[in-house]
Amino acid sequence: MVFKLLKHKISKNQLFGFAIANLVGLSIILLGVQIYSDLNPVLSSKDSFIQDEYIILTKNVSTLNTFTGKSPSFSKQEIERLYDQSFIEKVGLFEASHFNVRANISFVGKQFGIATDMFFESVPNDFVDINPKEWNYKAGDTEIPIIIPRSYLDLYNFGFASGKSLPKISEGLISSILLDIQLSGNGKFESYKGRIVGFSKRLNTILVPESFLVDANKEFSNNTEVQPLRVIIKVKNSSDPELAQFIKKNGYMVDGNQLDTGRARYFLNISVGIVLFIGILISVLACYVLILSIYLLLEKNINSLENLVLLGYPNKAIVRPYFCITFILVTLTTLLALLVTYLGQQAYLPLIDKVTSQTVSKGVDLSTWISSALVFIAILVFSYLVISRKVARISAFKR
Amino acid sequence: MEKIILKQALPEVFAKGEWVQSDIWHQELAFSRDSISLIKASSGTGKSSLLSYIFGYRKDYQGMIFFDDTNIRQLDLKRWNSIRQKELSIMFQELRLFEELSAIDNVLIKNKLTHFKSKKKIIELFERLGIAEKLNSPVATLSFGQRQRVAFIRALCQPYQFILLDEPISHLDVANSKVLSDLLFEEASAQGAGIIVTSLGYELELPYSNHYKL
Repeated sequence: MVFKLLKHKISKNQLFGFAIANLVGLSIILLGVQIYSDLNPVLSSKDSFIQDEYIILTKNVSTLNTFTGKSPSFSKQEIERLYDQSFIEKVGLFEASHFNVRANISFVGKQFGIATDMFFESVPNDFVDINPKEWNYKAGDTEIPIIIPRSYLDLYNFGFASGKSLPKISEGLISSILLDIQLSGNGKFESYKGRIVGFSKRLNTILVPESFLVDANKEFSNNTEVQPLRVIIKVKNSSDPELAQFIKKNGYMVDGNQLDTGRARYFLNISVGIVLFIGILISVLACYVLILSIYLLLEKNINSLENLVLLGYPNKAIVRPYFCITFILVTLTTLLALLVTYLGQQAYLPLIDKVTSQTVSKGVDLSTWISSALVFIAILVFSYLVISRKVARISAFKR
Repeated sequence: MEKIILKQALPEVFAKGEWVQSDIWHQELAFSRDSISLIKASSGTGKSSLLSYIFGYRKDYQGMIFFDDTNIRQLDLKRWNSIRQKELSIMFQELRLFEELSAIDNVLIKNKLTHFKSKKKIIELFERLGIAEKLNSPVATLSFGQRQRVAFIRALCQPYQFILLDEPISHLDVANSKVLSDLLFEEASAQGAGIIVTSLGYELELPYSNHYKL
């Protein structure tokens, strides 16, 4: 009966305007959240071709360095500064070999072989991306495990070998070859066996266990205080703009394009932020339109409402029909916005699939559901408060 | 509620102006449940103001008004709702009907709250007051005299200890006024309720126990 009385003055146009505005605002918010949750794993995934949490820093080698002989190394102060940065989680120093390394590979009972000069580097174990079971060295061992960059093998297999019609080499085959390695320096000479135990995507160098290299440097070199030329850092978030700024300010070079996905994610964050902001702005405006319509409706009905109060109707009964209208409208627009989000997602997913091999979830993400529930509840609570405040004023006959 | 007591009550607008002699304003008096009171007044002496103070939707007065021992300024909204549903009934001078609704719906919207009369009983009241054919007409299409009768029926659709009527028959002929006064007397007596009627001149025929001049 109360509803029958109050519905006479409801303006369909105002409510329609609210519904459209709220639908647009909500759809933008939810779509923004959905796009973010779909793209984020693609850019930050552990399986991504670039493991972007680890970044290798070097210093620029300038022509001046070449002539002055000044080494582009990291000083103690610089390394301490790295440790001080909040966005850097761990710092690992590259240790290089300060002695002569000569490697021989002999085939067919040492009748035929090749020899080369080479070098070793090491980093703390937790910076190495692979962990083969042979990767350890105890003092006195004569066999040294070695990790080489995966790109070396690829270079041989897909470049050199196919050009020369040589056989392709598998990882297993390489691992079965023993290298003869001679270390010399500081007036000492020693022979070891070397075995390639793995291939690293992250580290572009010939790696040996740190424990071995530290011992060997002591043994074959008297130059113990050598500053590292390369540093590997583990960062919390490679899209952190502070990180990019820090690297730029200090003139460091980043190995490869590890910062690029970070940058992509940074831009994703910015654009999602803007999208969410616009969505929230539109939703707030839509809420404003709703509140304004309800206010107008209440004002237009003020005589009827006062009469209802004088008949003895409690505020609750007067608030109810107005809140019902709001509830129905908000529910409808939220459901429609979820549908729009789903359809939008179906439209853009093929575009993402084109550029990544990763499987992107097909359905509406949990975070989208949660956001829609939060917005839904927020609008309802807000409009309930506004309506009941206005009705309370009317029932107190305070015009 | 046994008594409505006025203690030195006076509309604020009168407080500044020149003093008008009155049986009600600035007096101590009590309306009791077993009395039928007529308040005669000329226009602008605050007759409707008095009823709006008692019914709690205006508070621009000095002095105090009590329901039994309770100063009505201390009642909260919840209590007022219950008083307006169960203890005090009113027929406004300006009627305060819902023009969008039909005559019967105007009565039912009150009865829905109180469940005091059956629909059959309400239709009988419409018949007695000679407006049965207007039952489903929107109030906007009724004459003021017809609306007065609808508002009167609505005022009967609740339990009450006092019923207040503000110029209830200003637009009614003698025959209809007689029906209305008979009905009012019957209904109020059945509930053992006090009656307070205001009038500009032509008054409702009732066995008044008190006459006041405002």
